[in-house]
Amino acid sequence: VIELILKWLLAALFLYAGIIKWWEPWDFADAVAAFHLLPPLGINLVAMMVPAFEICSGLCLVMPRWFRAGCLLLLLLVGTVSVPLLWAGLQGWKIDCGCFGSSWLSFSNPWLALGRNVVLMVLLGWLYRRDWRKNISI
Amino acid sequence: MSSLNHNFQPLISRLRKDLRGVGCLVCTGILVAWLGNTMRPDGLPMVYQTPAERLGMLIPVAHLSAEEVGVTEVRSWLQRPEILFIDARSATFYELGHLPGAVNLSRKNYEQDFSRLRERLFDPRLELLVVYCSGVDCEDSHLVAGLLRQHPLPLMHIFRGGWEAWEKAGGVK
Repeated sequence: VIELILKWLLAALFLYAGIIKWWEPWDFADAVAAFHLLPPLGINLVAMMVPAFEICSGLCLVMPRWFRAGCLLLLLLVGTVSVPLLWAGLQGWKIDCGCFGSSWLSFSNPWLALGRNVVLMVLLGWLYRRDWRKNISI
Repeated sequence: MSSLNHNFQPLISRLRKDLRGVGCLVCTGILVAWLGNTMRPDGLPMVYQTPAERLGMLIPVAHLSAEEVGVTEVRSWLQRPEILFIDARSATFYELGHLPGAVNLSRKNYEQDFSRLRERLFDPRLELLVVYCSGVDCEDSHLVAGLLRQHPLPLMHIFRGGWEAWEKAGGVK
């Protein structure tokens, strides 16, 4: 039951994250630009792709056949986003990745945002491992 | 060795299947992103433009400069009705907290906010407008001040430290 609830919660969370970024693409592009890590061409590409990946993977989390693929892509995505957050934290910058727009899940402290991402990665990893083992035993 | 390979075969094929799934998802994501962006009227162009560049066509560069003030001045001006404080941050942040009596005229929603506040801004009793945003590094206060300067409005100052400095100083004392 916990597993099922967690799957739905994470699916809802990533769908929400994808939709709010898709809704305000300029805000997310500005958030990506604030890290000064990508050229102008890369910034808008990331701002276009990330919300779409989150929406597609979020939906996959509630589809048994596609669950593990969705989980892997989200792990990759959250892991990749954590790299610039780590960079910003080391630089002492006070910026957020714009991952959750301006909701209560967004933090202007990169270390807090990084902590949130680590929690998400642990949960995704745990769910992936459980699904993998369940299917192996069958 | 061959038995080891044999043992790992199901795992490898399962991992391959998962990675193929990821590949499919990435392709779907790219397609969704491209379709979603081309179909919407406010879609992103291929090359990023900063907020200043986006408003650049509207604001003459000379209009972007304004005198800057600090927390001490701001605090002493709070009770004066002839001074209007303008919060240039987005509505969400304004609702979370703003300077007492400040109005929300965000860079993002400039046109609508300006129409809504027209009466307050053109009040003949006003002598000074003080614009602020989130902190020292944000440029929204300068951009909003630049846009406002295109109208016959009173003198304008920028509260340099913005909301961050205000909170750090403990707000109203």
